[in-house]
Amino acid sequence: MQKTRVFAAIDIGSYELAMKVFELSGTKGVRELDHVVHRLDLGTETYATGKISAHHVREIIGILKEYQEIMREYDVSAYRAVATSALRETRDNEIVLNLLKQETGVEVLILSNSEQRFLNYKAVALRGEAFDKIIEKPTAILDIGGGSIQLSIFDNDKLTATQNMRIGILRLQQLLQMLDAPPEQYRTLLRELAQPQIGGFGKMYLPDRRIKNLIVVDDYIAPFLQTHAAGGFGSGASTVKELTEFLAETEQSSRAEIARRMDIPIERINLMKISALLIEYVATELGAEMLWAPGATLCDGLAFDYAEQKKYIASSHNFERDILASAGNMAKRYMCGKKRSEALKRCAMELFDLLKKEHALSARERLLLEISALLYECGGYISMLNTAESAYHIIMSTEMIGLSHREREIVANTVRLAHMPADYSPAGEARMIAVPTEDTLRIAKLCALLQLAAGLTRTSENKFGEMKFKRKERELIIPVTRQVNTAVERGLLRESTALFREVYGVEPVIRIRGEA
Amino acid sequence: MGEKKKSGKKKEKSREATTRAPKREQDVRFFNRELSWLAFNERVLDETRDADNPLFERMKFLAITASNLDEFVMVRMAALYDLLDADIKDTDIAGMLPEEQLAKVTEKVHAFTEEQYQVYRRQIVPALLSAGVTLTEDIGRLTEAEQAQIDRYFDEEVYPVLTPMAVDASRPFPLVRNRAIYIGALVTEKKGDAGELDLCLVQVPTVLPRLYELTLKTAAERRFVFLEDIIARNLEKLFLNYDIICRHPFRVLRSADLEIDEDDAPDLLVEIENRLKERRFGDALRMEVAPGTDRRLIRRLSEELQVEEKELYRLSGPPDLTFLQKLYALDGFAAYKENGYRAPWMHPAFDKEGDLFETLREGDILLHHPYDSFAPVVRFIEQAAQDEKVLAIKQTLYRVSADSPIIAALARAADNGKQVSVLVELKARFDEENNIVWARRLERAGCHVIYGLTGLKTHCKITLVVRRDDDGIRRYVHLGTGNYNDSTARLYTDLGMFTCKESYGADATAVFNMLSGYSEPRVWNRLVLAPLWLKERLLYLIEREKEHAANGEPAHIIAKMNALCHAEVIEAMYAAAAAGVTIDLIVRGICSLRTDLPECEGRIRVRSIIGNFLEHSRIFYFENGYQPEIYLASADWMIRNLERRVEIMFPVEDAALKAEVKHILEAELADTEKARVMLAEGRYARVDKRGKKRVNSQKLFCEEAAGRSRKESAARTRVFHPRTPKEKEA
Repeated sequence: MQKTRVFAAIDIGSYELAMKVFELSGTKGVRELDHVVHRLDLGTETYATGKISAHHVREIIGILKEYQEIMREYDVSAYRAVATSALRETRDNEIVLNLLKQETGVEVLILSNSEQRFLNYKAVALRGEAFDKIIEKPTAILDIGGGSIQLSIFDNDKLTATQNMRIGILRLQQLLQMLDAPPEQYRTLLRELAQPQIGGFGKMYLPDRRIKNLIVVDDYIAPFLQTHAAGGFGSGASTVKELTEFLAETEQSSRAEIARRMDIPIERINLMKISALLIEYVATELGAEMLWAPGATLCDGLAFDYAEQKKYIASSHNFERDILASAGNMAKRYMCGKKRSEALKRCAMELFDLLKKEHALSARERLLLEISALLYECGGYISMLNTAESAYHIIMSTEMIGLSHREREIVANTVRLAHMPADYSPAGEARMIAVPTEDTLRIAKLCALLQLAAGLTRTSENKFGEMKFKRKERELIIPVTRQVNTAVERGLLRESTALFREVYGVEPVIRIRGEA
Repeated sequence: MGEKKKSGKKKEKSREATTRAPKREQDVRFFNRELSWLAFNERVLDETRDADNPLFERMKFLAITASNLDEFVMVRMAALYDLLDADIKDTDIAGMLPEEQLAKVTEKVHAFTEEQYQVYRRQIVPALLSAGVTLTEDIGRLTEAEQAQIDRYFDEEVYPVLTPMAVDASRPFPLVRNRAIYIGALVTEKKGDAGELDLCLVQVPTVLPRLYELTLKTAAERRFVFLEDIIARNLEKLFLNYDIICRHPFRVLRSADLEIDEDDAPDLLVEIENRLKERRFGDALRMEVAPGTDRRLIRRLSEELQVEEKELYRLSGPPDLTFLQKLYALDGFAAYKENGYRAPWMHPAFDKEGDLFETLREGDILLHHPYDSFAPVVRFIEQAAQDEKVLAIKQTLYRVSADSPIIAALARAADNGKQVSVLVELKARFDEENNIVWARRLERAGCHVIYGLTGLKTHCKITLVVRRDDDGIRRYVHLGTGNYNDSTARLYTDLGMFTCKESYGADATAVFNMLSGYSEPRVWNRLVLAPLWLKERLLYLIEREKEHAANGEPAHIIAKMNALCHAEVIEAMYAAAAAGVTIDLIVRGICSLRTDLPECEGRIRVRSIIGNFLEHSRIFYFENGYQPEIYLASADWMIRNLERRVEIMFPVEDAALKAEVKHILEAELADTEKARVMLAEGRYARVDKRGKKRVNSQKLFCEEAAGRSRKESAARTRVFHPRTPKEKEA
């Protein structure tokens, strides 16, 4: 690890192109050096037309070139440039990315929604003590983007549910403009537009609970709270009541007066108001009393993520625990048997650890296997006959914050294929053709382990005790005590280990303890 | 024929006088800014009259009043004409309509000009004569040998650079350049009709010195002849076929306001260059004629230049008294110059070679110019240009010296591969040409040059150096109240602060980002910027003092600036004073605030210091209960500064530096020698010295800087300096 490193994070967002420059060091952690923002309304165009005009592309190129100049000023040695919904929803975005690369040399990566939200979440969670303190009580995070919002719920300091909803402030603004709504009707109309999604989320995830705190990630209200509010959680804290009072005050004021009071350009007033109304509505619906806007941005998340990878910082918050809690919650919602899930998970993990040398997979893939094991039975909630496909669809349509789209696809395919008969070959499947080759291999390795573990934990009864398996040359010894009836497992072992044998070249053998 | 007017200055003449009941004196809460400015120039003229000042200093003050007045006519009077031209009927904060202001101002300017020349003729010229300096008014009274010497000078040096211009039916009236002195002559053709007089003009060349010094046998006397008199004497050599009926020097002042529609200007640099060419020929607002000028010539010139009687100034001496500034530079007259102002001195923190950045890391450093040398600021840029660890340099430039070492260092830095960004304010009045030259030079060197901002003048003074120190990236910042101009830093009092505190560095970065067109930062740590936030912050700080007073806590504002005429801010101070806040203002120039409003109960005091150095720093002190805050700024409390310029106000936080700044304010408030206090109705009077210790704050600062510098040197030297009795007293 270098002593210090200067890192730049670029975010091509829906209404602005931002760059932050950070200094990373083992002693000072992540230190922001510079933050430049260039207003560029890409969202309005792409959400409406699905395209990005040539002049906007030229503008992005110009801005990226200026950002490169700034990067040179700091002697930046590494950078991440990402784009979010505006480019994500642009048709032929690959062409745009290629053009940006050719003209500027900057490689821009389009983030999936869950990756983006996870980075935002990381930026909030890595604020340290304030975050840890706030999530002791039931808390939700409202991450407001131009295209969509992400609402996530904490339970017992773990992130348990998260949902993306396409009611971002630019989209809402477009709708309000389309309705030709005067600003005084914004509150009523916005509630009507957001109610189906926010209400549905509440019913599904919070049927019998109320949220205490709402953490807000946005570009409009957060900066205002950062400078004007200082409550119990440090800067950026306020109450929902204060927000409502503030909104009532703004209704009496002219746009110019609001701009002056908030120290923001007049052209930002509209989006600020929509953002504030959305926060107020979500907070009211969830029953939140406190607001906290730590001022986290996607650029911060990118920097924290990079610093973590390069071991400049160690996070006090366990993000894997969040992902597993989220998967566990999903398993519960889709009626996966708790005992079976636990047994399957333990077995799969044991196998994964025992075969480290053979599969050469990382800790991240271990996590994916763990999630796959937890969700192995979720398809049964929809159809007992078509469990594999049902599981795939459930997993692919439920976001797990912290997992990228690609990772979710690995989990979904691992679970799906683990349910397939021994002679099933996914080769040639349209769905698998879209999967990158290296992921196909990953899926095969994980699926082989999951299939074997599923075969060994077929019933809710734990027949293999501690599940301490052993390797002996080309055999995988699965010990069992004489008293346990493993006739079914033995009988079907051949079928459930077909893929395992093929992938690992190892023969699983159930052997009674003490026998040679 | 005559000049073709670009604007309708003359419309004013045909307009009927507005009938409006004059505002009652007691209803007027503010003084008119133009009249207040003229009162300031009166105070400068007062220094010329002050026999306690050495002769050459008095002469310098007179030259300053002349230069000031020229600028006032070209800018402020021009603006009043523009208001009339646009048919603006709005009153100013003093309740005066533009025509009322212009009438009053014109009357005052006439009176002031007469006073200037009275002082010149009755005090300066005789005193110079006693000092051995003769300003020859009548070449005919010189000896023949001297006259021959003058004529030889004309033939060899002057004649080749002259361009005589005749005006007749076939040749239109030429464009008479702003501020240039001309010889106007009425001539008649030797063979022509004796009754027909033609007008001829010759511009007095600016490439030659205004005063020609005669070579005399005696060293005890120095005798000078005005260049215009030399040309006038030899005019026949230029108009060989004419009889010269009369010949007299004259000078015209024109409107110098650049009107630039920046939105329609594709290239601001080119646009300003074009407008500069036009400025030389803006509307004639004032014509000065020498004593005894022929009436026929005056009439003819007035017609051609469309100058009215009220715009005609019949001088009782040579036009353009700024030549006295050149005379001040004469060698050998030390006895006639002020010697109590020895400066600059090297601030002890910089009185050693080596790594300047290491010095800056030890803590914030305050420099009080011109007492403290400006050299460390130049060295800061120069060292940054050479330092391998420096990654980037960013700076704003408003007015720079003719051969600026800072510009050279910036160019060198770019050459050394540093990222150099410079905002050169092209719209800095009267420095536009100079700044265009620098901007081009910096661009050629590879710097990223920004030519100011559309619709705003960038007046803040800030430098940011980004350096990769051993423990990470660090930003070194210099913030100042005065320009990055090594020449004026010897004459203007200003404050500059070096810091490498993270909070200031982050804000400095944000300032340059904003100047580069990016959005504002989410949060400002220390700096307060105009035009977006500064006015609001000042109003808040004044209001806070009011609250302290209401709570019975200490509440005191001391504000030092060059000009104060922002009505909202003044009203806030009236309200604060009425609530019990004590307000001490040190305002060098324009002050629209009144100290005699009954509601303020005498709690607002205003003083103006006209000293050897031009008071230029802006310092704002707020008692804030028991937690005083001190700010320095590039901005005066004027509408243009708070609402139309990019300005910076920054706090001084280090306890020792705060004490230094407080001391500066206290010394100026205690000044008995060069301070004048505002009385009722805006009159100024010298401080009543009875029972007070005599204090000349500028001299005191010189002595303190010298003492500080010597003390530090003494601590590090092996040579001991015995103290003299004088030093002991100090």
